[in-house]
Amino acid sequence: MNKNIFLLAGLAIAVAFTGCTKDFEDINTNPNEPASVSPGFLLTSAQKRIMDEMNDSFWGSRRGMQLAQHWSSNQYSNESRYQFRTETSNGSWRDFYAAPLQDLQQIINLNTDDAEAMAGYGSNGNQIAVAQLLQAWVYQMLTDAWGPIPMTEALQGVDNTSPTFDSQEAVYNGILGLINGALASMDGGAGPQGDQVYGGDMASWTMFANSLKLRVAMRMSDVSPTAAQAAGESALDGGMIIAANESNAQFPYIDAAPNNHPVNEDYKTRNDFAASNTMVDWLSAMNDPRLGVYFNPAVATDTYVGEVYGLDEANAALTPNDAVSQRGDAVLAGNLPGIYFDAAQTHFLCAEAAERGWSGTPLDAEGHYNAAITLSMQWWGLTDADAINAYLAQADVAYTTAAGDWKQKIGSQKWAALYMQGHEAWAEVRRLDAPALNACADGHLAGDGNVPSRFEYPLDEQTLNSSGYGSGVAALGGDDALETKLWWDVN
Amino acid sequence: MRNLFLLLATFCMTATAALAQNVAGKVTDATNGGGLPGVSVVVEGANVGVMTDMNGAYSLKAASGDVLMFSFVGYNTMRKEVDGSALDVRLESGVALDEVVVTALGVSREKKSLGYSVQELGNDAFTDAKTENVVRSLTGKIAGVQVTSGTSLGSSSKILLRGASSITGNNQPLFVVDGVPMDNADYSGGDQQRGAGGYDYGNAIQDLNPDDIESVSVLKGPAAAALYGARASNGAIVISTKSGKGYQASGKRGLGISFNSGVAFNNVYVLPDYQNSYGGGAGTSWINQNLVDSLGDTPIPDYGYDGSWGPALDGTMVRHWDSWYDYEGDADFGQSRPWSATDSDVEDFFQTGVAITNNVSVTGATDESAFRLSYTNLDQTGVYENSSLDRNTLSFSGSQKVSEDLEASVNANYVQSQGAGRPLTGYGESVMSQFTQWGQRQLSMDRMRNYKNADGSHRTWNRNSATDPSPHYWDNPYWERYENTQNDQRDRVFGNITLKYKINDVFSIMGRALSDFYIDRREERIAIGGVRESSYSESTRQLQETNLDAYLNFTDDLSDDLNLTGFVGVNRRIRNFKRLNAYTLGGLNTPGLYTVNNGADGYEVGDVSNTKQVNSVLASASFGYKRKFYADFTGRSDWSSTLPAENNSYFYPSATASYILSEDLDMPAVSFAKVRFGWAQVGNDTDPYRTATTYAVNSNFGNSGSATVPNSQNNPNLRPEKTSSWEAGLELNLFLDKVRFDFTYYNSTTEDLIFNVPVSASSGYSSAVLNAGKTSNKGIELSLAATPVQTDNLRWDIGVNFAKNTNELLELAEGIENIRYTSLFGVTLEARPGQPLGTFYGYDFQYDDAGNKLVDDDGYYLSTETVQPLGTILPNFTGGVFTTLDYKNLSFYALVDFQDGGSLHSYSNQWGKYSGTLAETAIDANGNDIRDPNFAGVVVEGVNASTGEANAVAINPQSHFFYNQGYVIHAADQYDASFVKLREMRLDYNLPADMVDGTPFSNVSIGVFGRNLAILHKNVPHVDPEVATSASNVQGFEGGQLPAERTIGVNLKFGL
Repeated sequence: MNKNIFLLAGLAIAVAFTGCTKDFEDINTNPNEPASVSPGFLLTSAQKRIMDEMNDSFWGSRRGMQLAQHWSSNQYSNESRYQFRTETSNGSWRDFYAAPLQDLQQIINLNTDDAEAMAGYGSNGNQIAVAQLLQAWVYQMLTDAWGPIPMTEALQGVDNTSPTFDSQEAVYNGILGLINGALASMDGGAGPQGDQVYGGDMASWTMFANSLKLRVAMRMSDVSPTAAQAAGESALDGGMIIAANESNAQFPYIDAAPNNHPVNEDYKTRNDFAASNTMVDWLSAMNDPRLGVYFNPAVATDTYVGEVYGLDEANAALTPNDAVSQRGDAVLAGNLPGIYFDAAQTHFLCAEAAERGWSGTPLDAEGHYNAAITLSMQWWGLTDADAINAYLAQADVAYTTAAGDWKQKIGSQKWAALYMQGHEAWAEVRRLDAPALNACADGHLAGDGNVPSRFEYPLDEQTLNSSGYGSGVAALGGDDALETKLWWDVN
Repeated sequence: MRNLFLLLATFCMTATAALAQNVAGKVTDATNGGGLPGVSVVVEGANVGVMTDMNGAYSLKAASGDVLMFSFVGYNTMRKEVDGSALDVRLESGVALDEVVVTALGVSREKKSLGYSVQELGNDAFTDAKTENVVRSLTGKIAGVQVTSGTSLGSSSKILLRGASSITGNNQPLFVVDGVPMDNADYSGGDQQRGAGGYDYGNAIQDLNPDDIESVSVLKGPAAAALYGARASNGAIVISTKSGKGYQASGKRGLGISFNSGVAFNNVYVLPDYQNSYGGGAGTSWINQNLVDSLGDTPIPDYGYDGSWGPALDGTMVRHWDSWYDYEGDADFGQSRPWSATDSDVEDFFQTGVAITNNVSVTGATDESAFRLSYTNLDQTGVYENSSLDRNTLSFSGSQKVSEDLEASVNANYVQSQGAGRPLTGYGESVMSQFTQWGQRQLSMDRMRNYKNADGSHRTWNRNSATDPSPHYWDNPYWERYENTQNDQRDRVFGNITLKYKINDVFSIMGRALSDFYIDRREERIAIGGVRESSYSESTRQLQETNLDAYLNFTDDLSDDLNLTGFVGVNRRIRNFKRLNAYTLGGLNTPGLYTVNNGADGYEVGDVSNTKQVNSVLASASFGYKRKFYADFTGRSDWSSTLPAENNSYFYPSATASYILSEDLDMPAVSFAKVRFGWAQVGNDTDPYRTATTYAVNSNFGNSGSATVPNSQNNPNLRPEKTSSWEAGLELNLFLDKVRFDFTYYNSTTEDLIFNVPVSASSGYSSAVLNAGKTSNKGIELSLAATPVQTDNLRWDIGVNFAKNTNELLELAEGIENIRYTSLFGVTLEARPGQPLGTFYGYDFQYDDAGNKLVDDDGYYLSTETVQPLGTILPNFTGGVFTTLDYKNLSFYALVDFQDGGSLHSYSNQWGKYSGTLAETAIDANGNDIRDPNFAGVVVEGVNASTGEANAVAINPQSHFFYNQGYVIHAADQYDASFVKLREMRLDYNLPADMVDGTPFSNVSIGVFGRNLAILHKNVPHVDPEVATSASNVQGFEGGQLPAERTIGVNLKFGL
């Protein structure tokens, strides 16, 4: 009897043990991560991560800010001498594609596939429009850094783990397609939730769309003048452009970690950069009041001294930090906004459009040139109108008397105004070939010694997507090298 | 307390009373010297006999001239005449036939009946040359077991049986202690694994206390482990702890007490060879003082630069880094001292680490019950100052016969380990990184010891400049030791409750509950005033794994010749994991206050929990025919919660067979011969939450939520993994077992491997969870032992273990070209089809057809255009050679272990050359001072690529160590990881019984031992080729390696 009870109990246990898989779905439901979120959360994340990466110490500071020669290295000067670390190429590629671009794509997919459920977070059309515009912005920056990149086959997950690279011309057409699509998609409904840049104001996004289109068109203007002019004129038609600082597209960093400006965060533990002599010398020569905002005087001498650009490690290290100008307090502030697009840039583009004979610019070239400089100074807190006018009146600055042709005048002033937008400054230096930047003082370590035309592709694409990498090199029409010119860089 | 005295008094009186006409001694195994419990000791011709206790000791009354007969299953019976009061004997394991080993699910089986390879080690292997991590004691002792260890103080030890089959999943065997599957988590981060920084907290199996171990069976391969389920597809290490049962079985009643104490000293013994001719600086000039007023005329070195390409250490009077701290009473302020080689170098930074272990155990038995209670304390200080590990283990096991048929037993262990001041590892902030990879050679450790000013501010050699005392890249190494501290504690409880009920002679039933539970808490601090942003972080991990088992066992003689044993059973495994971590943001507000509330910008909190359940049904049947043919069949079916509903069940069978050839063989030279064959298939599931799509939630931006599509794409169509393997083996004992040979060949294939495959980020994900690969492991294991000398007093054994494993990634899913484990500074560790798992890729030298390196016109080596395979982390073969020499009461043991091949990438070499700290950056192999301005420069060996002539172009040494080394050409710092190490030596002395007569002590032994005594051979300069910064699959990246340590210690064991 006793023994039978044990046998029965054993049988009962056996049945209870194995029969029970119906809880498995509950057990395997992730309690740590949501299966669905507001698309606004994705938008906030994407907007922040784009700016985080743009201002990151490797992508932003070592590459963008140094290629523009706004800053110099005070140690470990490899990047300033054009030797770029493969690891940081891998990281930046990943941090754009597998992060914000994918989050933005998810917003588009959700609003396409599950429109009804998403409509509560802003109209479907407007959510898609904003996501597309930010994608367009990122794609332009990426193609200007590398040339051909994956676009039409990108962001498909396991459905395509070896995306083909599109030629830069195709990418530019794709970008215009995204911008035009976004403008068409705006439907008069509510703007997207989670929009930290414009708070869901679709009129501002229209300005952003047109301003970005103008920038994209202008970049194409030397290689594809007709298409460029058509695109540029359509952007200017209607006057909805970022023409005042209040309309700037910027990410509002907060003065507290982890939402502070990346340069501020980096500076807490490292100080690898100083003012470059290229920029200090130019600003000093122009008596430019922005000098005192961009940089501090050298502690040792209380004068503005730039660290010589492109020193080798030994020479860079021999210069005490006290002996050269460091970055200004405003630049190192935790709440410095991250800039997507500012009014100064639009006015420089308009000045150029006017010079190129495109219709629709509100002012003439000189008017836009002066507006651009004024807006740049005002953005940096230099609001004394008399000082600005005095600056504009200087022979070296005044549009009619400044040295060089219109490309050189606009190029130099635009370069100075694009401070803290290193990658855009580098792109415009390549396109306008102005101002003439310095050669690396102690020689270059890679490339041909000129300011690099592009970066080499990340090693990851060679090893994880070799077919795609091959298509990229083929589309480049040259070597995967620093000196290989991009499609739009015809001079 | 009073009761304890009473108990002791009673015990001593009993012991004293029995001493008068006693003959006492110890019976040991002649092969391994271990005490043999349960040996029958009988006075011939008299009706007097006893059994040896758990240590092999016995005592009985006998007169001089009596003959004692010692007999034990599986050993040759021995007769000895009584001559005095002490009589120790060594029993030969003549008939190995009946050796009993512990197999899967704790089933004791005659070794001869098994169709797969099992090797067993006794307690001595873990306690005679003790380390704080039992895994390390397995090094070199068992064929096919590869152990890779970090240094002391609770760092990681990785163990592999028969190579690795999984690409990114766990490849370590399952540890089972008294039936409890033990967690062996590592929790190391990616940086830690690839030598890029972080603390090494070790893997959790180190909680096991060596003193409590009775025996360890190593079940290699899935055939041995099929019954433990998927987790044992990499083999299982089955550990039995000591209990009162052996004591009870030996016929003892009452209490027995034994003590085991040891002290061990650890010293650093592998440090890089540094250069001592040139000091810190980026170049040979002093700093440009004219740029800053009022710095005086004395030369100022480049404090801010963390390399040693500076001025020659020629005695020039300079202002050293510590001459700028203007504090009252600071004698160094304003002083100049010579710029010369340091008088207090890196070795002075390290101290002697001391580990003291004390163990006391009490064993007791009655007719119905038995118990053992043991307490062990390990108190260890590290070779780094201000570092310690303290571990307390309390362990209890007891059994009680409730009735004639029902027995209840319980086993409970509590372990508390506390670590403090673990050193940072790897490239980055670790002190070895600032001594070797970066750093200034003229620095004096003695002078840096004064790391804090009177006002508490930081004094570091790496101040930004003469006028700016803030640290540039490096904290003072003593600041790092004393201000940036960590501590951790793990409290762990594991054990089981078991009920066994005998239904009749054929059937019995067993039910048990097994549990492993711990809370692991870690705190890390970075002080205000150092290079890094000050912070405080803490994390708490809680793990609970419960297993509920029920088995119906049966054993029956189906006929005189045919025997059947087996069981059917069910198992449910539930695993719960939780982690809560919190860290400060934006630095600390109040110095020295380490709470998460002290964050200048607040704090961040994260929590993760996961749960997994596996239900299983399993069965086993073993047949024995005429005690020479054996066959085993097992089957197991799992249902796992981690797989999609339609794919969540998988079945795995095994079959093994063996034949005792010697039973039918009439060859006198062959004392034993057996062939065996095994086949098994093992399924495997995956981690929780890999099937459904979810979002990763970021910290809020202001009041706005923020979330992102995860970097890894989950997969709703996962299938279980499947490993199929077979093995064949031969055991052969010759010349009355004087030569013993055991050979195994195995072949195992794992398909549908589930892993998180790195994919091109342009797909929108950096990785995707896929059934994506097929791997193969095949190899041989060989152990050979011999007893060349054997007399009454002397026995000499020598043996070798050898294993060779060949691993290959056979295929990957369509569209996947390779698997990336990790990468650092451009070197990647990958797996590509056709190559072994864990192959390094990076830029290589270019070679001509004759194998000469190609050099360009400027005298520099040419690098390949694309990345090339540079070697694999997997060795060609591994093994160990051991010898034991027993002379009377003296016993000597030595173990040399070796690894041939395997590749490692050394960032200590790479950056140490880049930054000019290593010897060869100043003096070349011919003794030339290559930095001397009069020296022509470095002419690298190679052939000019355009002319084909030998290179003759001299280049500047600094450029050579930049462009021609691993920073640019990764292959330059890729090294062969072969080694031969004198791993262990020990000398034990058992006090003869007559020496301890009249004392309350028995079984007194004293031993001295050494571990990691010497590296007899290696091919990588400056560092130890044995690299382990984690127990993960990412291995072979050496960066700022913690220096290897040598251990020398003394052990004392005695019983009351």
